[in-house]
Amino acid sequence: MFGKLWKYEWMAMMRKMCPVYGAVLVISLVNGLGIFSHTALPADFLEGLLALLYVVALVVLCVITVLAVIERFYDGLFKQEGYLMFTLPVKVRQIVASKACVAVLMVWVSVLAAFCSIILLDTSMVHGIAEGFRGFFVEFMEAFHASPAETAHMALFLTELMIAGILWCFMAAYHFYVAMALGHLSRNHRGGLSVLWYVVIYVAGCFVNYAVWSLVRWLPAIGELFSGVPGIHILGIGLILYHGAKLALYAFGTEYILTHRLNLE
Amino acid sequence: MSEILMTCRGLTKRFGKKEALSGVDLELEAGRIVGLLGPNGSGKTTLIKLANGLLSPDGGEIRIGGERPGVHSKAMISYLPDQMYVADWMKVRDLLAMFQDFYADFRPEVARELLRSLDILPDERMKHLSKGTKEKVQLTLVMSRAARLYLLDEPIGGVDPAARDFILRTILTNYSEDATVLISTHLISDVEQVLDEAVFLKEGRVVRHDSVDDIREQEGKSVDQLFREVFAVGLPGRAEEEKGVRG
Repeated sequence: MFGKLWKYEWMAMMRKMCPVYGAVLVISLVNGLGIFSHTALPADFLEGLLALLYVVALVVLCVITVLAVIERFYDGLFKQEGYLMFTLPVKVRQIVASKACVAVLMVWVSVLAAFCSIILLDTSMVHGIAEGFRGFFVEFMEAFHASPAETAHMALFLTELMIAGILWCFMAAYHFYVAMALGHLSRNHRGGLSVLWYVVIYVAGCFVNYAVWSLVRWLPAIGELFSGVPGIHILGIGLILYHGAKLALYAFGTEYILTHRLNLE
Repeated sequence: MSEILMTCRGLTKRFGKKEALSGVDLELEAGRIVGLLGPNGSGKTTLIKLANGLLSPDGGEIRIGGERPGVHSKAMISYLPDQMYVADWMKVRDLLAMFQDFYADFRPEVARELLRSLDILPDERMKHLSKGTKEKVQLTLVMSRAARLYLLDEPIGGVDPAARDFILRTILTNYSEDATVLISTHLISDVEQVLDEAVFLKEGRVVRHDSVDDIREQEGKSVDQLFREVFAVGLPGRAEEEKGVRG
């Protein structure tokens, strides 16, 4: 069932995002090819206008990606479509997880679209980027031959950071979700209260971050844990556990509210 | 005695200070067509939403097939809400595929036949259809399931008489024999002919639950006439008449 939910969520999301991706890529292609460079307009003015248009398109891409993630959850579960979603014979956890997976994937696709648009601006960059990757790989292999243990630790640390990054993406999506779920508990001003809950949770998260960081800085015994080779793994695994714990908390809160306190008036 | 499909025990739901349902006790047997009758604001939609798990009760409990609303009950219930609930960007074909994906009891051949009889093409997008046609597509999807319990919230509200006939005919010819159909409405005269039982809801309470035959026999009047008496507003002498209605 999860795969089926995922499929319909992906269709709904792509319907929204494809035109935006198309617009960004077309604008960058027009910029890159200099299609309008032979018009009567002054070259500087035209370049400036197209550059401005491109920046606006990138900003719109970012804003629409975030709005689409929020809208797919809010409209998809708390408005008319919610009547269908919550009467499907699937667990609430699966519904929310499918939305989160698609949201995270869509953010990555947006990043990829932005990256592709930059390449379209100047196609000669492709060679440079390919060279960069090749250089990194060559250096990595040289480092591995010179000092295999340390390079392996570094590669492991990068993997840990990547896992923590993925968890952070899901945690960020569930942060939106739990805030909207809490906002929906009220009878009135649900949208406004969702925003308020988002801010409250964010501020609470900042306090926790500050407390953890203070603990590391002020207690030498804890600070020493982060030195040397084991230290980088403690840091990497610590980040995984920290983001994982926040993700679990937000996911539990969202699921609990939508399962036991659902209120589609 | 037939199998009990839906049970409510002291079911209560409040919205703020207003009590939409107050200690509702109700049992619905399998194989019956039941009218959930009451004026606007009597709690019909609230009861149906509670059965679907779209609202959480503030007191008491509701069980479908012996279990609280959840994955199991949702697989048993085919629900028609009183509003559009399908995404309007989808094509009719997508909706058929979606119902087929999620409901094991969905009968695509029944859905296709119904759509054909309505001249609705599978490739049409929902947003391009008229309100009435969208409602018919939704009804087609709901009635194409071989569900155990059909919860139909105001299926004939706001449609013309010809459409009402189509809707009632669709319901009668497509529900499975051992299933129960709960039809919420305040348009009694249109549905009375098809009902086996009637549940009268007034201000969140069940004021009468009886078979339609018993009502006619005991009261000597149609369900529609009784409904008008029970729910008459502001007419003198009604209170005494209501005392005659069994609780």
